[in-house]
Amino acid sequence: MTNRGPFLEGLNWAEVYQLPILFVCEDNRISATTPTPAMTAGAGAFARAKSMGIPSEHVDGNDVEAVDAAAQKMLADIRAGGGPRFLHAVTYRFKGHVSVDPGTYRDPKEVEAALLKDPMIVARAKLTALGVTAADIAAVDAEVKAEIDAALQTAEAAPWPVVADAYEDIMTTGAGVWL
Amino acid sequence: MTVSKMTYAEAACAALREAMQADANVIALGEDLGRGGVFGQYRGLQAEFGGDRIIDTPISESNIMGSAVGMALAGVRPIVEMRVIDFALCAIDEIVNQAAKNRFMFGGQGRVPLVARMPIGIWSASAAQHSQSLEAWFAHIPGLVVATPATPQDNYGLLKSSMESGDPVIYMEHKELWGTQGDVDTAIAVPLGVGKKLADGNDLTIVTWSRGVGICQQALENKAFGAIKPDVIDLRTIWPWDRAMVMESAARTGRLLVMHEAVQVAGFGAEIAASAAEQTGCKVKRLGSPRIPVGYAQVLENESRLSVDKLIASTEALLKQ
Repeated sequence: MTNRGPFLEGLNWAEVYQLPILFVCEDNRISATTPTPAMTAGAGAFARAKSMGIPSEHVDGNDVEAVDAAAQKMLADIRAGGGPRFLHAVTYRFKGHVSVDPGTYRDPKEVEAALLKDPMIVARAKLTALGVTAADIAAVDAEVKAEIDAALQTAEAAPWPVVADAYEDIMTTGAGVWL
Repeated sequence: MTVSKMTYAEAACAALREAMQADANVIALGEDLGRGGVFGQYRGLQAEFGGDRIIDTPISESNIMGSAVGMALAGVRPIVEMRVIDFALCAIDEIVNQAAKNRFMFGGQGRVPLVARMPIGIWSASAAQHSQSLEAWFAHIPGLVVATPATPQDNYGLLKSSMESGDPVIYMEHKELWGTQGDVDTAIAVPLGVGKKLADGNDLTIVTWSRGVGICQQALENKAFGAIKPDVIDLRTIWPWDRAMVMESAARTGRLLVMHEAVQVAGFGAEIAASAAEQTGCKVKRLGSPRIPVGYAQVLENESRLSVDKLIASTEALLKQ
């Protein structure tokens, strides 16, 4: 999306009006099914923001701490009235573009290598190095998994929509006339 | 031997391949074309013709369309891929104000012979922003041709005719038809503006196109019409549309049903119904989607879909009028 006009228009407005916006670009390095670098001139989204005078940073998006540190600093600057900031976090898309896309157009070796840098793995290694025990990490994992499982169960137990729902939340004025 | 079995996607690919082999000025541009397009409709073409003729572009619909207009003015014959019609809306100025108007604005000195492919229609669980059928929008714009192939044969033939037309063509393949198989005779020309009879009868006229064609065929095969004998027309091209075929039929049967997957309100069916009523005095009825966004869940999606049951109910209602 950072190759589309509205992105550049949005950056321009943010700087012109000094809007308190933190732009976060989660760069998964693929444009639907085509690698982004081949489709992008220059250094990418953060450089475009910088060219408009917006302070911008390019960070390792797989490093939770790096993203957090950069975001904290930028948020403070924005809250202090500094105008917009741009945070470009480079990561990877581990799956396809949509649920039905197995992503077979990518080299499996590239995906395998990327998976080793999964932000969860990186964060786990950092925590371990800082002395957090395996048991404590496992407890967080279990808590998160339980939350996800519960959400999934709720979704699966929920009833399907009924026909009348097809006519809900469309508009108020003139509602009830569909043909 | 000019006949072979092809899918709807393969038929379009074959038509494009032949045009590219015959004319070095024919090129295609759009997102993800190198790997064959979103639906495989460009499969193998970049390997055969190279990246300079099957051009991968950034995600920039307005610029894809704008550059194609420029290419066409300069003598190139671009095929423009918009992925789905819903995304083509990002390029609406380039289509409506540039592609459609340049010939007129330049007093005939500029021509924009491009084919803009923008797949339409409901494709299971694609929801409100990837399922629209907007043929009526483009039928409303002077300068544009609008084609809606329903079969592999017509996708082959209409794409060829569109590329040869010299005009900007809005080419609308239906997303649910890509895998449909059928015989394709590459010797058959399918001119723009010529409909096709699917059944002959005198009880009523049914006009449809795109996904509606399969619904009619299903109804005919299942003998769902019972004793009713409909005259069934696949319009194939929305603009220009085959008035002669429709009027001959409507004048003879006295009843016209127009069916399309697009929203019924202000749909192209209204244009056909009004024209037929004006010219022949026939009774008319329309069958289209209610004016609701296409839902994601099956039960919601079905409300927007055509079906044999809806077709038969509308047929019977028209016969009672």
